[in-house]
Amino acid sequence: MLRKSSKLSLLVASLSLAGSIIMSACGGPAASTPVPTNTTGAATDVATATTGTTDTATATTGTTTGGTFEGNTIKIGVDLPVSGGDASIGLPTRNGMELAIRQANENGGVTVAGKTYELEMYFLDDVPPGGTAHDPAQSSKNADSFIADPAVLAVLGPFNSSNAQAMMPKLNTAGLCQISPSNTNETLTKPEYGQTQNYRPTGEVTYFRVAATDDIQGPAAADYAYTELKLTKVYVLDDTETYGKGIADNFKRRFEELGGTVLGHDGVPKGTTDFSSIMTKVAAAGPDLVYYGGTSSNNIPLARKAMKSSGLDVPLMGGDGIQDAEFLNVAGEDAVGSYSTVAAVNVETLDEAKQFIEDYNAAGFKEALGAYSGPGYEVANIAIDAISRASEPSRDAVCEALRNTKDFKGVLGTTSFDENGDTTNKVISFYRADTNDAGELAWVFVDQIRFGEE
Amino acid sequence: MDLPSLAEFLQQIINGISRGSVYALIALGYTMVYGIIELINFAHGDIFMLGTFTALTFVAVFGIDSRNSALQDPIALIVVLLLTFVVTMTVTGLLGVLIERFAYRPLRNAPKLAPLISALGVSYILQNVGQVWKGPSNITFPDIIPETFIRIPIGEQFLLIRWKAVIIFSISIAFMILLTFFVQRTKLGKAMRATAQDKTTAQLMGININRTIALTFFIGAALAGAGAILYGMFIKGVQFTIGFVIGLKAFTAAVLGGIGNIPGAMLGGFVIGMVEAMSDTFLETRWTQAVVFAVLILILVFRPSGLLGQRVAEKV
Repeated sequence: MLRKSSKLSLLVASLSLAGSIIMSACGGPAASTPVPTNTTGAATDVATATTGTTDTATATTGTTTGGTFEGNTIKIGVDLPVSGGDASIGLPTRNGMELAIRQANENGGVTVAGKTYELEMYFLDDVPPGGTAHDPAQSSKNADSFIADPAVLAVLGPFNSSNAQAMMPKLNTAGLCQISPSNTNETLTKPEYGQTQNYRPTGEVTYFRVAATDDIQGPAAADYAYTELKLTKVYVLDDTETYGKGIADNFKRRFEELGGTVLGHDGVPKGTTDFSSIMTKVAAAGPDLVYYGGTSSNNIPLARKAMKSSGLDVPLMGGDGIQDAEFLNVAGEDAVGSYSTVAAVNVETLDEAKQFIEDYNAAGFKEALGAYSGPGYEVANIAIDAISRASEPSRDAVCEALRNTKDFKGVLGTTSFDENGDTTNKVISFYRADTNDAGELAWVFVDQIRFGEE
Repeated sequence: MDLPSLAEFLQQIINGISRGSVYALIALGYTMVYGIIELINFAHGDIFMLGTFTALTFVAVFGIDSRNSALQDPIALIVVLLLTFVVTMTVTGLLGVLIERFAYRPLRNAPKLAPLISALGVSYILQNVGQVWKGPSNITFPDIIPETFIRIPIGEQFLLIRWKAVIIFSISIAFMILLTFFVQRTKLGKAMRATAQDKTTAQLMGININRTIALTFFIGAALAGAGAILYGMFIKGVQFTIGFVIGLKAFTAAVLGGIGNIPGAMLGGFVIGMVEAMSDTFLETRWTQAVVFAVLILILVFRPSGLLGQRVAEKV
């Protein structure tokens, strides 16, 4: 045999432990390739980012107190994941935002307090360089960059609830308002869950969203599974993130209320690729549905494949985190028979959105319209509307205008924000993975439910 | 907590063995390289990752992709499978040799930390190569062998054995037997053992040290290539980052078995695979990582040189 050594063993153990901690902390090693971006808006990223940081000292003092800024361009900060496994859901969302900003500029920009400004998207990816998925730590850094640039008067994004948790306290303290097209975790905004003081330390509402929350999305999925699909035994899994665990818990609660049986609930940490043993366990429990709270970038498509190879031939249902091309591309034919929900209206069903869809298709984007392109377009327009209604070009004035957003007519219908910053326009739409009319694997729209004001 | 049924328990043992076979094949590369030059080759996991990409690209030549998989003709299937192993193992093997030649050999007499850092650097380079080559998303790894099952009734339930699991286990055991035979019974194997024991003396006995070390890297990396094909067929999806996680597990397996010890690495691989499967069964999946490393720490506390490592007196 080769030489044995007793040296190193403990060192090695601690090394590997340290390795695993790093792994779980950032979801994979960080390499240093710059992330490719493909829109015109992104081309200026680097330049704005650098000027932003050099301005830090003056900017923070100037803007936290709500001062106005000098210049001819108002920037809208955008934080979305547009690379790695999240690219297929992030890019179509950013395209929606870009379209809105482009249209506003074509119509002569926005006028605030008698002066006309051009709008510019200041885009930052929240997938770290070389990473594979959204990372809250990256969103936190991006928030610093937005705050440091005095020309940024509003922020759009983030896409994922865990990233919102990282950004919200920083933006709140800086008095910079943000609107998310897609965050659904209910604890971000609703005081009854007892966490809002962490996200809005100043007590002011600076976070708004147009997506319905998971305390609606999860239960709606449970209703659909139990009453429409007539499924009664479910095994619940989640990816252990804020969004995934939250929506899974909500699904579970409602499913039990309806009289369904929850056979088990387990969390699968991100980075897991081998789902054979967990799916064997699930199959042994004999469910007729697997509900999986989480995102495609956390390998749920591989879990779907493992279901098939563990002889578990039942539907998989998930939230908006799996309603993307990534799920279909990776799971392939095995995806058929999966269900997903989206916490927004399907814009293709609305007359108000016809023009938007035409414009989107004519704009020359590489990515087809996605589930959150419409909401992306909507939040950008709401921000632009608020900027134009602001009494002066300052963050405080824009926040004030945002809080007063009332009956905004856009591509999602009519939107107002309630006292927590949540939309009053709550719709959950349902999709099934199937071959569409063109013979391609797609998320086929099946139904949607509108929830009235509470 | 409900105890699993017999069928489920047996199923989990099979899952553990299949998973463990892949860890074991990769662990061999870590242990052989450590045995011969006392270097933890952090790039090994990424060689494995590039192995999955190589296999994926190679089988596409035969029209096997995510849409059109599994050849029907059994003879064609065996030929393609054999070719895939030969090509992938040659590519990863040569990659291993190249890395040794340019990243480690110049540092052979440098302080121990230098090649270690060099290994980390190579690991990142390979990851970036993988990312540029296949993009950052998961890619479907096609079913080279069709997904079919053996059904064995146990009471009310069925034990479902994937044919793939049987093939993965047989192939990895075959490689382990071949390797053991090679190291123990051939002249080159003897040269490897001699080099591991004492480089200077081995050189005096007429052994070409450079060639022997290069050969070790070749074999280790080729085994990672074999593991890559098995992993791809089993998991069905690969991504440029998998080398890190799988490499870490395989490295843990090598340490658990006693680093530098070939049967130890195989045993360690199977132990880790089995611990993971059992933790998924009896505990919750969210605890599995913690359980694996807790087992590692416990074993190292009581047997600092690993399961099969021998206690050797510290050189002062």
